[in-house]
Amino acid sequence: MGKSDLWAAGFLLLLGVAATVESWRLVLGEVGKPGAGFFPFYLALGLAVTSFALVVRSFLSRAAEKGSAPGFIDARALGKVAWVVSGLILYAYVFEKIGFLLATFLVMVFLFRAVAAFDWRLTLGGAIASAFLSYLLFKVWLQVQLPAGPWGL
Amino acid sequence: MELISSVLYGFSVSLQPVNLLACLIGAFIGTLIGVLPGIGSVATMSILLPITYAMSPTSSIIMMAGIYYGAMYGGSTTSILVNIPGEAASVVTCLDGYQMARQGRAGPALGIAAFGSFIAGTISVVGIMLLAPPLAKVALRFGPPEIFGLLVLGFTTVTYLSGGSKLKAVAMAFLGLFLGTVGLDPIFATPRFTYGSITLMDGIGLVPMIMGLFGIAEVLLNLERGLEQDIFKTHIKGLLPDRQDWRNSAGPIARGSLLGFLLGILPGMGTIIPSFISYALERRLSKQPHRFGQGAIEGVAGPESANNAATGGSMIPLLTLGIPANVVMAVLMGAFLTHGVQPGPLLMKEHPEIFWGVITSMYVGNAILLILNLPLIGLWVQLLKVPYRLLFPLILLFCMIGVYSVSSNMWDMVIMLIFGIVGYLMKKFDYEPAPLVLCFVLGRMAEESIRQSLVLSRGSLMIFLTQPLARAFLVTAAVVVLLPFVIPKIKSLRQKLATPGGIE
Repeated sequence: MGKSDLWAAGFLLLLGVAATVESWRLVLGEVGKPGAGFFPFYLALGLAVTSFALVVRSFLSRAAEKGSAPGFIDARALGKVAWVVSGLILYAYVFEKIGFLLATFLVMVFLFRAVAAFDWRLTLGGAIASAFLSYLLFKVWLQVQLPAGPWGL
Repeated sequence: MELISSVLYGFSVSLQPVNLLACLIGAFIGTLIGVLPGIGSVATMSILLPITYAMSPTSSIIMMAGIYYGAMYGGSTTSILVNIPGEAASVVTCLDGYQMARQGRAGPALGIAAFGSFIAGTISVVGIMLLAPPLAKVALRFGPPEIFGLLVLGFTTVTYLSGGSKLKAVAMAFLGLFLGTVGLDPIFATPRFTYGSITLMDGIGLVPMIMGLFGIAEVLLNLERGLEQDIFKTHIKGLLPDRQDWRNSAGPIARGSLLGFLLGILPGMGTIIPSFISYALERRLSKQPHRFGQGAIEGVAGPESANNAATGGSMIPLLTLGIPANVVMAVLMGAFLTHGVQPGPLLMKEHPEIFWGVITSMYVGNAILLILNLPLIGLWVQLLKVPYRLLFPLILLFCMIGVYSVSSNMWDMVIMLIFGIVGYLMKKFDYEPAPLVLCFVLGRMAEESIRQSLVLSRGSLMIFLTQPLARAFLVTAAVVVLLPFVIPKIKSLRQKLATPGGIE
């Protein structure tokens, strides 16, 4: 726990300090006339202080259990998560460029095949079905504005 | 008399075909996801949030609430049959429910869970009807200092009651409050932390945040755990509890309902703690405590009633004060806000159709669930066989399109994915998302109330102590903060005083 805890707390501390500095640059105002930076400043300060306490605590507990350095996430699991998220970010990126239907078909092929490891027949069938059904649900039934691609689909 | 006519009016709303359908769909979906492990009610409600835009505010809130208490019903089914809690609140039900199933008494266990939930749901609806109107009346008189005091109390109980490290919960509360300040300053409209982004001018969206933290993060965590699951086999006969079962369960159901309802009102309580407390209470009261854990029907009846009653109780702070008591209520608040309706003390006056319609729909919903659940248990069991690797791509797709449909902004997808990763990492590092989300939701209200108070008092912080109600809230909050430090001291003191080998 010690090591990974320290990383998390350290990250929060950095975030807290950065947020405090950024809030400071806004108008703090006075107590009687609080400005835009007033509230965020004290919140960011609170975050910085509590995460500093977390850093200290995990430092102390780490010293106590020296020698045991457990890795908390195994690399393969993390790789899978990164793989899925990057696929979805790519989907978000091309969504408005190539249109809803094609983008959805492609991302579902990716998820069914590359992540869930279905065979090609099920992958293609599933991707076509889910693109088509989600189009029916969102565009036709719920009348959501979905982007059309260059081919009008 | 006024109450009765309001309730009748409420039923005239909730029994309209559209709302009845919304209630049915909500209860059905709720049971469905309650049965399916790996997808919870928060995730489902947030995923379906964008879809409700096409509906009227009343129908959509009715549906959302239906998902919440429907999931409580569904969760108990898997706990009893396969020892897998479909919902966290059904963890305790596994203890005796599964033992009952192993002894061939799955039927009565499922039956008592359904009936107990129905009775508890009914009691909590009556409780809301009685408690909510006077509470809303009091809340109407709140000025900025009182609101601020109440919010501080809410923040502290949420932080105190969230599981795990308190210090981490405090950090998350600050982070949530801070994230709530992104966007335009509520008083001077100065842009804060937007860095030129137009999307961020409106602040970080509640919908992408919740969908990321709960929907996406949950899928990512499940993916890592592997996609295979056990196939379930058993068969159920005779769902009706017999006379002895009823005699044993009557007390636990009544106590569980009352306990769950009252605890559910407290911010941050949720449904898990009441079910645990009910179990502990029943075991303590039982003349044969050794039967607990070996298939005692009281151990199913009490907690199942408690968690259902708690769902009702937790509606009260949202409907009367505009403060969500737990994450599910935060999502529900999101549903209110996206329809341009502000939940709170004015809700009853300005939107009586929503207020009374939703409350009475919970009653209707409980009846629907009872009818839906008993005959359909066979279907729910079949559902357990749907492989997760088929489910998760669809959940992800639903999240992506759903979040886009809110404002047709592709950046909302990206924000959701970022919060998905954040939620995943938070789980990994043992940080609770609940304080973050609740403080985020209430942050703007807190900022407005503190700044207005300070302007009112010309900069004197004493305003929070001179107003009696505000003072009472803040003192209670201080007690909540100090309790964790004081309780161990008392415990150790008591241990010193107690004779060795006293209790258990």
